[in-house]
Amino acid sequence: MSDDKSDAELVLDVIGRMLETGTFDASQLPRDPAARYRLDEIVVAIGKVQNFTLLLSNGDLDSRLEVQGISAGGLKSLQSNLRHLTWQTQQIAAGDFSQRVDFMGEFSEAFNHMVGALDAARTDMEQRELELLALNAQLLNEVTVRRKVEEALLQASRKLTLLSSITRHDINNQLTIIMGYMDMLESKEHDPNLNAYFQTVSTAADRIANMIQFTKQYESIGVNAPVWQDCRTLVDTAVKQAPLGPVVVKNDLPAGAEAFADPLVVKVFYNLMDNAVRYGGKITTIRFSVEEAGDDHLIVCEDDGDGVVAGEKEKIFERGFGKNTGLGLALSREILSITGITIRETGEPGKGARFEMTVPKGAWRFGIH
Amino acid sequence: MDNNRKYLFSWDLLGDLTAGRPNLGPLVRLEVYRLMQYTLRDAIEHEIGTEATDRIFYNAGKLAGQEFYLHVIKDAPDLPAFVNAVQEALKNLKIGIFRVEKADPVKGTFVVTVSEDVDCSGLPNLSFSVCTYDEGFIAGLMECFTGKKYRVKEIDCWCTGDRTCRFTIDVME
Repeated sequence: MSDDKSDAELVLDVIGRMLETGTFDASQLPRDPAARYRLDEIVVAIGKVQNFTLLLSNGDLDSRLEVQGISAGGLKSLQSNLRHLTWQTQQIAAGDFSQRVDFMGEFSEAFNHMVGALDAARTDMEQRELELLALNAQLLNEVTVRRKVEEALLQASRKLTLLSSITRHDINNQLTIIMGYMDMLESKEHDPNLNAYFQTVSTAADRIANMIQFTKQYESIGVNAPVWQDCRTLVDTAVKQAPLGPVVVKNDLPAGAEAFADPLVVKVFYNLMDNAVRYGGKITTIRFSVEEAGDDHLIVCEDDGDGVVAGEKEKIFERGFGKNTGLGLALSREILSITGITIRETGEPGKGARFEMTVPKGAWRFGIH
Repeated sequence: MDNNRKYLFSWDLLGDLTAGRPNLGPLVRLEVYRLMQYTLRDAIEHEIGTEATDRIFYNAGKLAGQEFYLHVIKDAPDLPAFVNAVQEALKNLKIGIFRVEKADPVKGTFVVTVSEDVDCSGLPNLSFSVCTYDEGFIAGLMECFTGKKYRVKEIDCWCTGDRTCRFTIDVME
């Protein structure tokens, strides 16, 4: 206990140290017992306020402050506001965006603005969800309608196929009868002037047979949905089927190069090989490769045969043109056209044929899928 | 209860303020309200004692709370709507700033506060809480909203040195 300082000074020292450090020197207390008692009350109150403040600053909103007065009251009011904000935040998290804060200055502004923005975002999201649901329902309906149409078309296609099959069969039967009796008539002794007539009838019968054959092959085009097909594999498959003889096929199409085409597209490659061997003359090699042409890709089939005469580069794609059935290239063009692929002959006559199949962007892809 | 009593309350007793106060309007200073309340309390306590006075004030507040719900809050569909309606009404009528600290509707326990309370804010420290009427008022509101009876107790008050009046609300089994 210091004899130099008065009780008042000692009281002030204790209070000052308590406020600054939260502790006091028990040996430095006033001499007067009443003053010591009152000082003790003040020190205890200060300690409680300090402890409460620390707890509050650490987020403890449940502690109690058993001190009265303006300072303690202000802190307890702050605690009450924080508790209320906690409850409001929980309400917002549960979806109640009607919560607003009043009488807390800048914090009220910021909080209310945030909740308003959350509410607007939620409303916008709910609106979009409704729109998506409506769109989904519409799409579902369209898909349902489309499926029904597809089923109806498939049914009609089946009926047509059956009908044409029966009709072809009946016509072929009658043709067989005609040709049979024609042969019998021709084999009998007859006026030589009638030979020309026999030839005309025979030619007509052959044309009818070709037409029947064309319809049989044509009705299959476009019946099944187009699919992605590996071009190199198509060539390899066609090679096994085509009557190549000594002609060599070089497949320089890269693996993984796919074209979107009718499932019958393998016949195109078969027809190209078959035509090359049949009409190529001195042909020894057929080569398949791919070239880029802007956004499109060209599948090229070229050989070292006789080539195509200048004035016949489009005629070869007409039905009936050629020494055989005359159907191969006509059908090939039809098959390719299902997915927008075009074909033309661009070779130099006498130096070999060159068929370019132009696959448009969107019907060509490369890589692993 | 005898419904032919002289002072049986009805909302009509609030009167037509437009007709009644065409010049002074509907507002009165807070001091006048407190003057009436605290002199009335004094007189009643003098007659029948402290405990009975508190009971009377609690019941009066409860009656007011019930009538207030029926005529001002009306039908609140859920707790958030109820809290919002009470907050807005008390703020607009300048009764106080009502806030919720805790709410457990399942257990039926709540802690609410009223800041700048009309009864006590700014009063001197009396070492006891004075918002008995508010306790009843809150009990009346809760009873009409939930259909259950509640016990409301003020645990912090301006008159006990706090700056916010805090009330606990507990459902009565």
